[in-house]
Amino acid sequence: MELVRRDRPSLWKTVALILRARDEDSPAARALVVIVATLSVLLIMLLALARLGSPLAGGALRFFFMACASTFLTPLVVGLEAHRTRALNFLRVLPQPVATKWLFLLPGCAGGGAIALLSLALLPIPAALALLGCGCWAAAVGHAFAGRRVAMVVLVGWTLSFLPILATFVLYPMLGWNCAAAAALAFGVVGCLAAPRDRLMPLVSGSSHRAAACGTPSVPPSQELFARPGRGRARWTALRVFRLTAAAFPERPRQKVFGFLPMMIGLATFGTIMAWILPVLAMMTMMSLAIIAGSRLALAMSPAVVDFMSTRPVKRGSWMRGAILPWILLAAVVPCTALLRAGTAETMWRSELAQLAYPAATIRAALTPEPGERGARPQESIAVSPALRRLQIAQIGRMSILQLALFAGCAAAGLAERRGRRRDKWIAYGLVMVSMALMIGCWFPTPHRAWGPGPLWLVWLAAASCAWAFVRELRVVQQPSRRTRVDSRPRLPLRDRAR
Amino acid sequence: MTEVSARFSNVHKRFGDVDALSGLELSIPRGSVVALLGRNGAGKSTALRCLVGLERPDSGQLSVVGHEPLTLDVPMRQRIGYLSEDGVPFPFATADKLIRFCAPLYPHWSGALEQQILSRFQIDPRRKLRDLSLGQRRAVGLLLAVCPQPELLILDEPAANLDALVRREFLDIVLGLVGDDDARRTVIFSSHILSDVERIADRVAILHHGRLLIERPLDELKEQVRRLRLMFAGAPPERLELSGLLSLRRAGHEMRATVIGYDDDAIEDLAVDLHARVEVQQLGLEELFIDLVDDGDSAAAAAAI
Repeated sequence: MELVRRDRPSLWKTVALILRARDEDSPAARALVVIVATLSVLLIMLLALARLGSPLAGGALRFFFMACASTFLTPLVVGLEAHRTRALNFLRVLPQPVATKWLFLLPGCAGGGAIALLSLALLPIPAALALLGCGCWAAAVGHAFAGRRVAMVVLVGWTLSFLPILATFVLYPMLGWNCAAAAALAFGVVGCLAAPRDRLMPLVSGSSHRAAACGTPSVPPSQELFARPGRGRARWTALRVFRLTAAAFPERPRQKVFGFLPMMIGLATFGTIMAWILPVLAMMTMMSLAIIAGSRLALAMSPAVVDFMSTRPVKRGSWMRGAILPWILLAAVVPCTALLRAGTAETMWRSELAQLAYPAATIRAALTPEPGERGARPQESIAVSPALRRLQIAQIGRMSILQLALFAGCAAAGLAERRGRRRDKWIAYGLVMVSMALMIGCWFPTPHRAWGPGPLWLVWLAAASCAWAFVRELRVVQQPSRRTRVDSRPRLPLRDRAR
Repeated sequence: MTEVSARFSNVHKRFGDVDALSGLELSIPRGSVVALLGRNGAGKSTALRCLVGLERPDSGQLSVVGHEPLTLDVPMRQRIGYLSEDGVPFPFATADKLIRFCAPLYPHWSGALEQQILSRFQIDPRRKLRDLSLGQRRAVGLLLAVCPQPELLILDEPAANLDALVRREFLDIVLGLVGDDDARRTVIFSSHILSDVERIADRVAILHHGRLLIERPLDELKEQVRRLRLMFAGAPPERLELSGLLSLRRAGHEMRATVIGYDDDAIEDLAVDLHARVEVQQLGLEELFIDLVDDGDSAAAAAAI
């Protein structure tokens, strides 16, 4: 008996083993963890602020904020389970202190429990029940779409997951919280009953459609595909490099969400249009685009892709234009558009006045009634003064710099991780976190809070550091002598290896 | 004078505290099929990566098709085909997409060879690589390396983890490529599968601890390398200094020496000089390889050749 007990790893060792499992796609998975953690912290902070009576303190607004955040995050958290499938498959053949399924279920259950407690503390009971229904439905949708095609996950999965919120949004004003909660709970119950609970474990054991596809005999190639037009000369090489390197996705189906090119192009288009109309608002919502573009650049310049491209007869300029430039442009398009439109009076949405992150005293001064007037002036009646315009330009400029810093930091972290440069990776992740913190600081309605966006010199310092890290990693990619290969970990002394 | 396709001159490469290449000296004549053999970590992949410019040597000189690998321009790269041990890194790309990308980059892309490989491995070019079997994925990598009909083909463990049938198909394709005598194509490949090496290689280079132990035509190697079992009446000598000694092992009153370049007369003379009875064994490539690399003294002995 004792022998058996000694053979079993402890729960902590098991968890450590899972966390240490190195897969090809770990940078994006870790970036995802960082995003989820940051958003969770943000959620909790906002809830705490709401408790103190901030402008978000309205019950319905609080509910919809929590519901949207948890519905957005839940499928991602469910998706994280699949990122450790190799480690978990390995664990299945070892004697375990806990059943493997609990390694899946515990983190999600803990997160769900925390949200449930918070909702009970901050929301009326019917609203909390509605939130529970929304969460159950989102988790069920997450399970149902695990391992599906990207288009299905993005277009159908996420759309479906927001259905109970939509139902609540429609029912709450007309019939009140009780009806809305009943509808959301109905969604939750249906989701729980219909969720394919047996779907996840087969995914873990690797019996996905891929394995089935590999086992089936291949279809003989059709003859027309052998005819290759335009052999004579390579044209548009940079564009073709971009198309190919954009396909350098990691093996895991879940991360295709982040490499889904049409989705990113759509997001960039949407962001650009928004930046043209409402620059401040666009800058606040486009953080994800910078992170995704940075992670994609790291994938497009991963060691295997670099090896492939650098042994082909492709000019270095075309290669770099195809593999790097599009991602930089993608990250820069929204900030640049916003900067172009910054300071134009017609783009100043009135409610943005409250969102401009500059000293509260300035805002107060802007809203203070003229001598002789009674009470504060309504926002609609305030013309955008040149002083406010300058502040808007400063705000958009600050967020643009931070967006680009975020992009550069994410790209640097991904590049460093994919080359096994641990120290550089953690430095880059640190810079990413600083940039994110500064950016989140810019989001808060500072007229009511003491927490502002931080001093400008700190913004510039973060941006310069991220840019330095990015350029440094790119130089490593371009210089073979400085690359560190993953398989160059310290090995046994030569003599021992010979034996 | 023999034309050389690739040359390593005293090449050193270090990763951290590990010497991947320690003064590698190797010349690869044009038109030959050279197999690089060695244990895991012997430096085979590093040598090949240096050759295509993926690693910069710490010191020493390298040339490939007459140029320094790190400065190869586009026309030079068109003359070199390379298949890395990791294969093709685009699991979500179809074979067709990869071919469409690569084909216009090369002036002599062979559509016939492309068709041959696709049909031989039953690859549907419209399927994504991740949906293909391991053998088919490797075949796509091989296709991208051989269809340009390169003057120098470099394959890093092309047949690793493949079944015997697929390996045979691979080798047939490579043999078909080098069969054209006029083109005088050179193939350098690393492998752990010695039966494959015996089938297609005409020269063998064995690396150990980043150094070249021996490099010879395969036939010459098999003919000239012998294992001598030296049986002494008393205690064997402490040191045995022989020219052409590749490895040496002691076991009681016996010594087993793997030597090169000893004919029957030389062996008789040796027996007389050492006052020992000598048994001679002919070695196959596998035994030879094991004798050379499974011995801590072999590197020192090889240095004495």
